Amino acid sequence: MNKNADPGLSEVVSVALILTVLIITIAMTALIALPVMGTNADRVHNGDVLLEFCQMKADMDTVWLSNSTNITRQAVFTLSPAADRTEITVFPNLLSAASFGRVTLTYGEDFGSYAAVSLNYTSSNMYDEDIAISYAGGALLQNGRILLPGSGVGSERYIVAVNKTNVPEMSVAGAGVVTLNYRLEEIKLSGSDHLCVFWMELR
Amino acid sequence: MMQKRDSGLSIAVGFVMILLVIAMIIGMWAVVGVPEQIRDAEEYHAIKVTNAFLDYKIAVDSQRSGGFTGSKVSMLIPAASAYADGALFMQEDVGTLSITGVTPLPPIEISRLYATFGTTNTRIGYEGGGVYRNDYGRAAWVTPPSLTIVGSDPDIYVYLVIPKMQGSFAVGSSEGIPVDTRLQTDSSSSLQGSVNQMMTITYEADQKWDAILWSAFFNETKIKYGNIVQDITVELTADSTSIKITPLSGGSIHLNLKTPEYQVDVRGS
Repeated sequence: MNKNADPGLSEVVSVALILTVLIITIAMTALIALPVMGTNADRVHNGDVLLEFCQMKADMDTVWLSNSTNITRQAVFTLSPAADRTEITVFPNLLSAASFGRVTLTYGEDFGSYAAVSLNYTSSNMYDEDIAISYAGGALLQNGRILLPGSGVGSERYIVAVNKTNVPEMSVAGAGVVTLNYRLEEIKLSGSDHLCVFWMELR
Repeated sequence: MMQKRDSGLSIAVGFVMILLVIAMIIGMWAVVGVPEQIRDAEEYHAIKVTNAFLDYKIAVDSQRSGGFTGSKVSMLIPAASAYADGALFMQEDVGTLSITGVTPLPPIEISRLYATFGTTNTRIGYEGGGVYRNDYGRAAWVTPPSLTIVGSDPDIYVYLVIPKMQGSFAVGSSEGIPVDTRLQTDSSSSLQGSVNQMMTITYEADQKWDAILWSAFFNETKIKYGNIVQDITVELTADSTSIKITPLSGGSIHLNLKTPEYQVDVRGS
């Protein structure tokens, strides 16, 4: 037997090894895994919000194409990836709740007491690049670029508008869900344009 | 002396076992958890694509029914998911619909707009005015084409809407694919068969699954309207299917056929 052998050394080495593994694991998670998962969640959420706006555009187009007046419909926009169910994560990424979004309803092109509606979504993402989506009078824009144009027949445009006396400009921000209630009231002629006048509210 | 020599063994074994448990958890998650989550995400995405095609059908139907000839609607088909690219195809003449028994009609070419994504085992599309979903070569209607039969003793009225979609493209993307659809013309024709004359609608498909799909549609029509006509029979051969409608005795069949023409294209970004 080696008289210099320390019988407690193996315990100390084991504890040190376990601590090292734990520290490396925590450091890897904090430096690599969380940002990767957060970026992924933000990216998925950016795509989901874009689809939610596309869905809303399709629904609004269908409403005025079928002249379905006085029926209130809803569109839902998620402001944060926190509740996004399509992301793949080992465990819920709590930091994804640090991403926020804002939806605003403003007036666009002016038509007297009416105005083309402008619904804008801007993100404030924690990890991924921010995105700006606009629904302007029937056209859909992503980061200022027209993704889906508005509708028309020849040179006649069909513009989604609101009555300024009934629909105020408004804004909702946060990490939850925004609901847009909308209802087609009438389709009016304004010069060569057709105004599809909607009542809208953000909740 | 021997006890002292083995004093660190249990701790070392314990440490190795902890490592093994961690490795097993990671391995199980990678082998079982990740594929399951991807399948779940893809299934969720397939529902989104299906909903997009349903919106598409409603939009193009509204163009016609609202009398918006010349109008154009733009919609996004979310072919790609967050985890896999997607592709959108527009194919003309994937099948031919012919109608006999009333004044002779030229065959109607059927087009198909469909999306595929991920493993490409699922294909969702718009064909003949209906929306279908094809999984592993077996297809079912999400909503079938429009065929309505109304009885007015002893005559019967058949209302059939078959959109003619013009365009041909194949686009792959890692994002959604914008599609422009313009209603070019909205033609309608009313035809009448002679008394007791049977009407036959035949669909000849390029692929067997498509013939089976239309056969299912014809069978649904038979179940739905079989009690207001003399007889409805459905036949299915290798690549074609047909429905034969016999009017009540002494009656005739009136056919109201609408064949709106649409121009379909992808929007360049």
